[in-house]
Amino acid sequence: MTFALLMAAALATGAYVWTLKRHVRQAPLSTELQQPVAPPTAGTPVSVALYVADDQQGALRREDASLSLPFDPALRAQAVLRALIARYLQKDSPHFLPAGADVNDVYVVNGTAVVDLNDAFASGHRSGVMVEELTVLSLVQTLAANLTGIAQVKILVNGQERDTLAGHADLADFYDVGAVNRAVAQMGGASSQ
Amino acid sequence: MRWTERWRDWLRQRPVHSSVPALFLLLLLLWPPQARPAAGQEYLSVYSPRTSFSVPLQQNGAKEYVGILDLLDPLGELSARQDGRKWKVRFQGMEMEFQEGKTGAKVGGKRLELSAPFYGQSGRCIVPLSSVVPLLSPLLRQPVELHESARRLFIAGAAVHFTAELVHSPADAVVLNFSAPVNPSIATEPGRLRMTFVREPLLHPSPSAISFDDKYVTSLNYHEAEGVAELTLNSSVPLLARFSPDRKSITVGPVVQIVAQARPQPAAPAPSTPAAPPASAGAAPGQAPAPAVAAPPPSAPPPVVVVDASHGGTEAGAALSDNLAEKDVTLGIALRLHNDLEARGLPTMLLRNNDSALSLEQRAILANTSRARFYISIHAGSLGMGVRLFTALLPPITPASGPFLPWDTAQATFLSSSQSLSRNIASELAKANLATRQMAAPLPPLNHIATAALAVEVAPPGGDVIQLNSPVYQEQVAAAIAAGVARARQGGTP
Repeated sequence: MTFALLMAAALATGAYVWTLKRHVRQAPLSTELQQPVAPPTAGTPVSVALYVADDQQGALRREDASLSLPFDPALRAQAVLRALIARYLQKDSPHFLPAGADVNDVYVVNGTAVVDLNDAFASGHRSGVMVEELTVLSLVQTLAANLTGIAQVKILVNGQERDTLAGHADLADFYDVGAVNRAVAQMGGASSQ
Repeated sequence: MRWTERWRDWLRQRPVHSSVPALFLLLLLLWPPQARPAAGQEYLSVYSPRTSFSVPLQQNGAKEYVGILDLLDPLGELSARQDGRKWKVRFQGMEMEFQEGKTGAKVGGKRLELSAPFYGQSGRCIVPLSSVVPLLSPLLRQPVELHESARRLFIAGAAVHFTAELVHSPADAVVLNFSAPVNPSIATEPGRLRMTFVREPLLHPSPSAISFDDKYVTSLNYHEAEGVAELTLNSSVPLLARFSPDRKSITVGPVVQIVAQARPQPAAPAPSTPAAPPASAGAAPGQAPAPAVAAPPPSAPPPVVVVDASHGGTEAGAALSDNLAEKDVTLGIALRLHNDLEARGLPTMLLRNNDSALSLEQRAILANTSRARFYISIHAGSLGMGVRLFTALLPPITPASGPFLPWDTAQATFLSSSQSLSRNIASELAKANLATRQMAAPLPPLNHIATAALAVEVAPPGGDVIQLNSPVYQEQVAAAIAAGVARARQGGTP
């Protein structure tokens, strides 16, 4: 008798919970959640210069891409870097980055761009002087080419300062855009001037 | 608010999928306990006169267990079979018997009691760690000593002993003499130098702390834990360790004194380049402040070349292949370069001649305080082929003047000398038919070096990364670099 009562109670509770959950699923989302996370990109697509590292040549080469860019410089920088990283994640990439590599954020303040890479970018990056240098110069050169007035770039990983990218390329200091441009030219790659 | 409304709210805030992990966790907690690898896998280090190895430990309740087959396999001929709940293990003609869930066991026909029940798991015979000595002693017919809390097992008296002696000549230092060659990992931190012995059965009778009547090196501590032995030298100044050629002796002393002791006598008059001012001890952004190091006495003869084998210790650099770490290739090339430079009469100082760890700041400080004329950092990489020469990537700044140089841009004053050194070495590498490139790179610690400084990244000559480990290739690269340095020292302008 007790068992039958308990079973009946369990079934009734289950049916009630199922009904409640159905209501919850059908309830409209709050207006806050319907807002987009970032403003939509506006305007017609523009041509951006991506300075793509090439492992075979040991240099950067310029590739033009067409992107719709936001007006905000930080979001614009983020969109350009995401396009560059997407290029490296393609199957025919000339310079592979680890799966999941991404840029968390870019901040632009008084001629200084601060690029915050995600953990997958740095923790899975190949180690070596040349291979790390190509990555860092590619990021800096691409940013400088598409954002006017950037004089120096600082790279963080997951919001934290880090000594090196993967044991070699310096992340402790700021990158001077002029010095990077000269280094790229010295490599035999495409400088932005 | 009625209870039904509260429940509705509660459910709205917690969608059904959020309760799945909680249910899974509950199931895990309610699951019957089983033996499992200890969290953060622990190992037992085993030392015998023939070999040293480590075996995984398992935690079952409060007891630590070990696989008896894992222990015996490297030591001799072994077989095991399971018959229902009974296990029979045969090792070099002697038999052991165990039964699942029982503490009773037999070794060579004699009964003995384990400290906790035996169990089998995936073909492994798992016995309590504390019963390893009574099990192995009759089986091996040799003394077995277990340091259970340190997780170290010594078979047949395998041991390396050491003595420590404070010496005052030629410089104040502590000399550690070992009964067999050793190769510890060395790490330095403010106030101490720590040597970790993983493969060596290092032992020391009590007391484990030795005090020295010295103003620099104050004490030595011996400590064993988690399968390794450690020697820690405590000091009031930064310390450096130097190995004897037979690796049976390690001299530890203040950096400046050890550097001065190792400094070779120059074969030629002192270089005409003015000695670099010492770099300030300020740290780069995001880095720990560099320890202050006193400049060597001005009368000391300066070395000409500082050779820095990059990486070392736990910082292995790039994994060039499954079995080849960058730190080993850089050390091989650096040792050859050292010999080649010395053979050319160029006094040389190696920043590391063993698998020790040096921070980037320590490397810069050692190079700057030794007042080197040239600094060459050796790297190895699998990308591309040939040899790449890197000078510092610095913004266009006016070189500092005066007695101090800014730490972050100390190299700026010497950049043209560095580029000249690069050109000389590139010229010699080209003569040796080695593909060569010259570039600037954001590579620490180049920016902090107050002399002509260069990083060399050696890639394989062809497509096979294993060629980086070829003695012939390493010697070819080292000889060309040495020739380039010799040419730069004579003021060569290619």
